[in-house]
Amino acid sequence: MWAYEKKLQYPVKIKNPNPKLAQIIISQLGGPDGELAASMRYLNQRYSMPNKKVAGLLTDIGTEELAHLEMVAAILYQLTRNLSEKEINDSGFATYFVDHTTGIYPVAASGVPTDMKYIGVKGDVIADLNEDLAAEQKARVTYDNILRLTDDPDVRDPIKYLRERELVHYQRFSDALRITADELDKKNFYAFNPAFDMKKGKN
Amino acid sequence: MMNDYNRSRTENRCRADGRGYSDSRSRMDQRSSCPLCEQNRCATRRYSETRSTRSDLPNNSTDCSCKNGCDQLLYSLQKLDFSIYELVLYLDAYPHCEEALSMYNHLVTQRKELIDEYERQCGPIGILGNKSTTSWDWVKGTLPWEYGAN
Repeated sequence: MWAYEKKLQYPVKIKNPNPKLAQIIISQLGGPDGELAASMRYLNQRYSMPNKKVAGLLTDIGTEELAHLEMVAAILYQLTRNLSEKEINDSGFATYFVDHTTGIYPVAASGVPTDMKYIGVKGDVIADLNEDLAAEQKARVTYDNILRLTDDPDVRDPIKYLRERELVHYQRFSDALRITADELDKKNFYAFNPAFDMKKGKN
Repeated sequence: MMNDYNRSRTENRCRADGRGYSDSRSRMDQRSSCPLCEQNRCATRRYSETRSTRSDLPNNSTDCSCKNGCDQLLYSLQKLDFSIYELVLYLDAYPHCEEALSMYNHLVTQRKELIDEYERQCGPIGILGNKSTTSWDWVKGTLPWEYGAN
């Protein structure tokens, strides 16, 4: 089960609201490679992992992604404070505002709401871990793109932190993949699916 | 010697090639500024072991004068939890790494004390060990996503 602690993983302190930037950064909330998709991916993949270390890693990284989700929401919350109607209209934020005011709703920058189709849970250890490696890189690219689009140091600071965490997760998943491969049939990694075949006939 | 070789071929090993857990040490020499007051500070916010082993670096808890008691305690807790989390992710893949384990044990002892101090001064951090006696403090104070809480 989950315990919540009343703090952000890393501080977010943004002095200047910027609804136009919020519309971009919201992709890390509800977009295809955002933190919500990441946490759902890892937390659901862990159930079929036969290797306890990998299941533990997916639990812990999935939990951390929930904390990152909270950080992105904090960034969006602070970027949309004290807006005037003129700011809302001029920034292009009006299309989000009309449906959600300044509430935090998981969409991508395009306005498409978040979707479980963004995640894969294949029930196969190798497939799932490779998906996770790709997911971390895609998240890193999204953060790179956000960094291209803003100069505000208050925004760049937590974004750079989140970007670096994606790289660390990528390294951890690489470790997990290598550990998994060590335990498989070295002549043929695909000889069987350890998530399924080893449980057949057993309880 | 042979035992060491065999050990390194199994799961019972640390990343002795210098990558993995140890690579965070190379970032310690980078200076980055405090997000609140632009004072330069060492990136030991990320790795609190340096408090005890590197006397040339600024003291983590007092090197940023913009913070008052609760802000400072919260920030110290965020730094400590970061280090612990890094160790947890590493230990998930390398559960027998003695260096990481002893560092983890050391940091969680520090954490217990820091949490006690934080909760005494600033209110509860979670709902499962709340020390609120006369009123439910959990629903008081700023929320973590607000500007004033960071």
